Amino acid sequence: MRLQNMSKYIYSLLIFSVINLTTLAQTRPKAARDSVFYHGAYLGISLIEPVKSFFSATWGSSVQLDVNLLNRFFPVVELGYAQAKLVNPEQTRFDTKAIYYKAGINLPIAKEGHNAENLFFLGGRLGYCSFDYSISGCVFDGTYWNRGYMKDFLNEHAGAAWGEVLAGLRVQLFGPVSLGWSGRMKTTLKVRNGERSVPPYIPGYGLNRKPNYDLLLHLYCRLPGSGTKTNKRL
Amino acid sequence: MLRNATTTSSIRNFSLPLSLLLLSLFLQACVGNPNCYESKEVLVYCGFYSSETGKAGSIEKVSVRGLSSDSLIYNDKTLSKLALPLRSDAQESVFIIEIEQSSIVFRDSLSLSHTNNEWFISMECGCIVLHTLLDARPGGASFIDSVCIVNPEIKNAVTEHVKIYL
Repeated sequence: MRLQNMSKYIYSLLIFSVINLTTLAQTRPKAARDSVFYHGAYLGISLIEPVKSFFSATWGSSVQLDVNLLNRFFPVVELGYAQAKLVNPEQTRFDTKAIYYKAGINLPIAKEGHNAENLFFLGGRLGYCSFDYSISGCVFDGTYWNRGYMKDFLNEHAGAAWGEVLAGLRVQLFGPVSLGWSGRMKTTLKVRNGERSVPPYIPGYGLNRKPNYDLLLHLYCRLPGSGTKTNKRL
Repeated sequence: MLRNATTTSSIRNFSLPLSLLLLSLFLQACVGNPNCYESKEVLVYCGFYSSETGKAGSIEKVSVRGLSSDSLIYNDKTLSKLALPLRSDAQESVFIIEIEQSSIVFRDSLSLSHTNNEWFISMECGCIVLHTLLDARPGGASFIDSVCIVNPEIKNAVTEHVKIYL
């Protein structure tokens, strides 16, 4: 309950900061197109996913690297690890853990700072994961011919590719450290099922349903030696 | 004053993406549904046809049970098709079909050879056993002229799999 209240507070604060940031960006006169190609790189780590291990059946961790090109394009690569232990009311258990990959781009809608230290962006991702999983205690209902029985499906292997569209915000806290969140809508593009099952969860994507949603919070660190101060052609 | 106007304008400009984002987050809370909306009934559907005209028809007073079972699947029903459960513990399912006409009972059988494929659908729905029909044979003792497989894949959908010609 306390955690819920806290998340509501953080969420309200983030929404408020989006509005403020967009307002700031809109009220300033538009700068001329930037001629500096490379404006720096940010390394981000996910904050919500590891914490979820305390209260959720699915958790993980991810790091992402994005590069600021021309203050207009932010190509991103993401590497993550996800784990799930799901149990249904019939005590059927699903277990998986795997590494997933994502690549995509963020496009700033509003930005502030010489190196776009604060920005509100829209983006897209393509994700992929190949993973093993097991389902134990599968219940087969009784039929006309026989009674119900239970069975385990171990060593199932599946794969999935998916797309994500997202909107997010990154705000500089101090020095090279920034905090940001992104709300994501996802959809699977291709799912390769296991030999005897449909995977109920896909690492990096979440529950195997269309569409799926996610809210991620990242702590970013600007990599040393990257970026410019005032190299702008006016 | 001017700044206030600009602020209002800016918020208006971004109200659409913000609204969409909030809506998508709101929807996230709505999509998690623990109920199963998929049928778990896996049955083989057999339609009755005339061996002379090839047209579909219905039969009165039909009773059906599995071989070596006393429990009836159908009891004195008027039917145009049968929906039969296959064995998941054996590769062959045999059904005894009885038709009563003018107080005389005609008895025949239908043997279906099949594979069994145990399949996990989802955490909400659980598991089912799917089948592939390999062969269908009439008993040849009475009223069934011939049988023919039209769709060998038996899944949790209502579609005709076997034609029974009388």
